[in-house]
Amino acid sequence: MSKEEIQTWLVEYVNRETGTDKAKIELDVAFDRYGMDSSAAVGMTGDLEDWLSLELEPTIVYDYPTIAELSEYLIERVS
Amino acid sequence: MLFNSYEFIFLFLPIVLLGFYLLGGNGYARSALVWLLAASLFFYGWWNPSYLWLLVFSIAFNYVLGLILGRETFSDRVRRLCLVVGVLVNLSLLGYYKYFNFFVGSVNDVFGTGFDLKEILLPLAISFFTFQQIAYLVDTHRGKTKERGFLKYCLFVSFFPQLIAGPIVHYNEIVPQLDDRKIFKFKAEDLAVGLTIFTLGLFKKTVFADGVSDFANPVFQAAAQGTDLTFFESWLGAFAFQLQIYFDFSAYSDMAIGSARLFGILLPLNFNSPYKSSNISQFWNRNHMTLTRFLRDYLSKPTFSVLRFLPLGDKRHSRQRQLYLSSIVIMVASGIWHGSGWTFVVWGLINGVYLALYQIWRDVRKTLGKKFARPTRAEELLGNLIMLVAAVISLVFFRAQTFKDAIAMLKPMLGSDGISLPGSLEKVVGFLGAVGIQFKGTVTPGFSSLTALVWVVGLLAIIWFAPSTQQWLQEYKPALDYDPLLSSPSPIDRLWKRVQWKPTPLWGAIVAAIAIVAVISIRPQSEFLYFQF
Repeated sequence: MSKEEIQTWLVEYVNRETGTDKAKIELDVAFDRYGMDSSAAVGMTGDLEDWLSLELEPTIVYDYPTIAELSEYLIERVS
Repeated sequence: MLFNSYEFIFLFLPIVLLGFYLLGGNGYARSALVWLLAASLFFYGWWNPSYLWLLVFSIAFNYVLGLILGRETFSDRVRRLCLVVGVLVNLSLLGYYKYFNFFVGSVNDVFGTGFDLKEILLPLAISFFTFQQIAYLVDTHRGKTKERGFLKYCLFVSFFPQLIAGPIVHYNEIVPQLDDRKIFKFKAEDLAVGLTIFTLGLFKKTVFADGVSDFANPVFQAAAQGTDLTFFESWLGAFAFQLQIYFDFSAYSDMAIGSARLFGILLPLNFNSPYKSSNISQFWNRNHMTLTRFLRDYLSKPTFSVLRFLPLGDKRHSRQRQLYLSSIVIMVASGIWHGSGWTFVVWGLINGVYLALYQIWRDVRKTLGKKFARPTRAEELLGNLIMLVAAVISLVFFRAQTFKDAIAMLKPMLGSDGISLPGSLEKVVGFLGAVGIQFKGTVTPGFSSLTALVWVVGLLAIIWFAPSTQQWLQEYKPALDYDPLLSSPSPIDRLWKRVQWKPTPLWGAIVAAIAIVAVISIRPQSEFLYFQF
């Protein structure tokens, strides 16, 4: 598992949830700016747990609000 | 001092601006900041100098605690203790000044006791500077801030554009800007952009908010006096209040951002056309944005930590249900923050339930598969209308002084006495009488329902179709964190993009004309609604 794979997964997730064009999704822009509300963020945490087989705080997105920050945190946890 | 007063516009602001650039532009950067701080304290003291000590104490107390929290030489235990003490002292001050009488009155009502209420005048801005400094303490404890001296800390809290009613700013948003030498050098662009944003805000306040309040106040007053309102006027009165608070807060936010920009300082966006949202969740992400951010960053997490111990089904479902409950808890907290009365609690509760219902709806759609995961354009429009009406109903509790007053408004709105239209419409749509529609007219003294209707429809058209101030000035960084790329432009937005503000003589003349109308329309003693919070 690499950081880039996690970032790709997150970009695809944001694209699926909000309809934002993948090319327009930037790594250092907060999830909520793409219209990801708290419900979507908590849902994403659950999907991330399943995908990475990790235990995550449901509010993890509040602490790591961008794809760059979240993927950095997740890769540390995975490795 | 009010932003919409002659003394602020024609004396205070120009003098402070002149002093700031005279000092800062001649190499006296520190003196310019001292001047700005003195002006900010004067601005606060203008309202009631006797409460200046409270602001000064609050700043000094939190600064000292911040010093301890930021030093790693202190043990974790000491720093955690300081954080707890700091949060408790801040909340206690707010609790005493804002909620003492509410608490004692509630105890008297429930238990029939006769505890005396105190004559406590709510210190201006206490809700704002309390939350701002709690956020600072937590951020410092988390190692997110870097101490930059007492003077800059004082300005972070008391900088007059954001002191009274927000935006609730973070230390890291303001202090690095004060460190930047560039702000001391006068820039014509900052002056042009700042004056334009300020002028648009002034116009929204004096023309739109104050104008439409003439249709909200009499209706709510009539309801409070026991007048049996008709269906049509009660809805018009409620919509008029919704539009009043919309333009009032939009105006204040613009004037705060605009006046800060005159000093080269960017404040975060606080209001982003919330009624263009298609659901209640988006609405709260675009309305009073810095309060929503505070509640998300500093209240959601502890709320979740408590709620996670509630067994609410399997792990995945439990999480979502915890989220629904947490939304309700957070919105009730928001209601309590807004005002010390049960009507505010109910307003928060209603909005919490709206949020939870939306989240449930969203999760149900998601389980139906990808096809239903995202709403269609038609569904978004329907969602927008539902949200607008739902917000009007909840705002009745926000505006009414008591439950009795709120019920007196809501009963006719819900058709308790049948559906009645203005008498003047009988000639046009009299055939509706066949289906039970009545034409009773209005009972509120001096209330013209047709004039009110024109105002309400006109202002609704503006909030739906006109660009926001930030959209209009998007090429000139109109707020600290405004990113036009993410505003999901509608066809109307794309149209407005072609009519962008530019620092040209033509736009200068247009803005000057707007300023003249706004200044002529100033009403003495017309406070911003958020000053009472």
